[in-house]
Amino acid sequence: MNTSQTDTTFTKEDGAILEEVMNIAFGKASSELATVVDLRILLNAPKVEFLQADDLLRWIKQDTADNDTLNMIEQNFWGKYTGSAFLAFPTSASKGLVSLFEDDDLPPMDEENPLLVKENLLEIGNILIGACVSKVAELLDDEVTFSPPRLIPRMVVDNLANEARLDPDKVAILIKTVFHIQDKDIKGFLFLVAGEESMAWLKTALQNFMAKF
Amino acid sequence: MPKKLLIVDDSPVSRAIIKKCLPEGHDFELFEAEDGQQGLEKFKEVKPDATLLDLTMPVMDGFEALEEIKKVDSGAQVIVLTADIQPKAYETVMGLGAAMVVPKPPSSESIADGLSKIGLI
Amino acid sequence: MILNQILDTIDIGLVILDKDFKVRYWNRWMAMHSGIAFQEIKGVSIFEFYPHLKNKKLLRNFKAVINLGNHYFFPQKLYGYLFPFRPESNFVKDINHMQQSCTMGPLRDDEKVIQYAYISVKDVTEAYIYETNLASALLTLLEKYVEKNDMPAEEAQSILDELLPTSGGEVMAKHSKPPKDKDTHAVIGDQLVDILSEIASGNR
Repeated sequence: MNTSQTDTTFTKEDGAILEEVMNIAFGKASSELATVVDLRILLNAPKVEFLQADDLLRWIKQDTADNDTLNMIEQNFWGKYTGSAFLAFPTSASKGLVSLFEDDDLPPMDEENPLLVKENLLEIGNILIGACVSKVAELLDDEVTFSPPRLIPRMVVDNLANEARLDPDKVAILIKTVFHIQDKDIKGFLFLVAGEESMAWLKTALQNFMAKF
Repeated sequence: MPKKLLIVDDSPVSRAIIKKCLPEGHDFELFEAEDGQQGLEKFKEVKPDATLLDLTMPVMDGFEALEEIKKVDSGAQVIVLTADIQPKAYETVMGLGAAMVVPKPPSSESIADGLSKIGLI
Repeated sequence: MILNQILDTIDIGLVILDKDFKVRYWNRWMAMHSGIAFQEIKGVSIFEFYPHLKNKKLLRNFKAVINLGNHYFFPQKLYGYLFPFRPESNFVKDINHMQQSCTMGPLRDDEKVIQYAYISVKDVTEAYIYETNLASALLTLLEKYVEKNDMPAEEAQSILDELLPTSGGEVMAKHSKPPKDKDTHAVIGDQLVDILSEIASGNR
């Protein structure tokens, strides 16, 4: 019997615990984000799936079928819990996101400036992704570090499978939530994808989480 | 006589955590519901001494459930549990008549504190 | 002790701030490039030495680091630099300040509570010069193509849109439009957009 396989097999119960951990983490993130960006950012109850990379891309496409093109921000994080976060939003929402920090005292550039557009999108992505991932890590007694966020501009949804360089044989833990910035009418998706290397640790961390009560 | 406690939360894990956090040495009769609508119906049926209510739920969320429960019984003791305690949400649930808000994840101390504040233990 | 040696000998700047922005650590790299000794800046608010850091963007992201455990990245392309240091090389004529890529992140105590924020400072001046030289060459080349009608202006613009927002004052200087402020790379985007639109409309 292959013990390592046993260790990383997620049961339905593990999935339910992970969903609740995410739910609490995203709730805390939403609450603390308000103190940082002076915005009410709502994060829906997250959904957890265990998928192969191929299915994952199909799943993202299925959920974003209404939008012809997406902007995506990708950011990697690593700790015991290691993976990638993707913030996806319709290209049409970019302007609204860019205007979130329009009261900034620097830099003196107009809204159409590509550098400012990119920087503001990256900043909001960085803040949202960082808040969510950090809170998950905090609940599971982990500490994570982030790589700089990258903007994948106007990624065509149909090309997602060709564009992404994910290993098709690997199973990914996929967590999806819808974020909604109140008063700005901006909606998007946040995906956290963790690979097989995090599974064994995550399974133990979830058990430890429940053991606290 | 055991105190009737209604736990309304869509997550079975969350309900399990709440049950684990209930103070020992007290006799509770527990009832559970998976969403606000079910919670409201259960509330009418069992008339609990206290309700522990989640806010983010399908079908009927905690805000609406709280409002409806208060319409049924204005004296109902409802403790709201949520991870997202923003001032606006806090004011809303307190305005709707919640007894208090307990942050998620709860602890034995925070649940005991809540139940003690409403005089249940 | 070994850790201290490492922190003082690595070719990277390292600053540690407490929640009140007071400097708790300032490695030798920072002392050497700033001319401010650790003992001099220790316990003093960073804003007393660098008042320009007190801006909404930095304060917001500092809060995100302390409250949320976030990391924040200060890209050279937007900021140029965070700390106004002289370039290391004596043979850099057109650049007044070392170009920097900086990162800010949380530091936790034994209880895993965030107490401090660190800022790491990396000198990217050479990469910046190389990039602007490449950008300048590309711009010149594309202009020639457009002038000879070998390439539609729109196509040239789309190439520039893709690649050039990252470039700086040197491109402008070589194309006889002096930058408004050589020290503020934040304004480069404006000037670049001007040039791009001129190319697109075939005026150049």
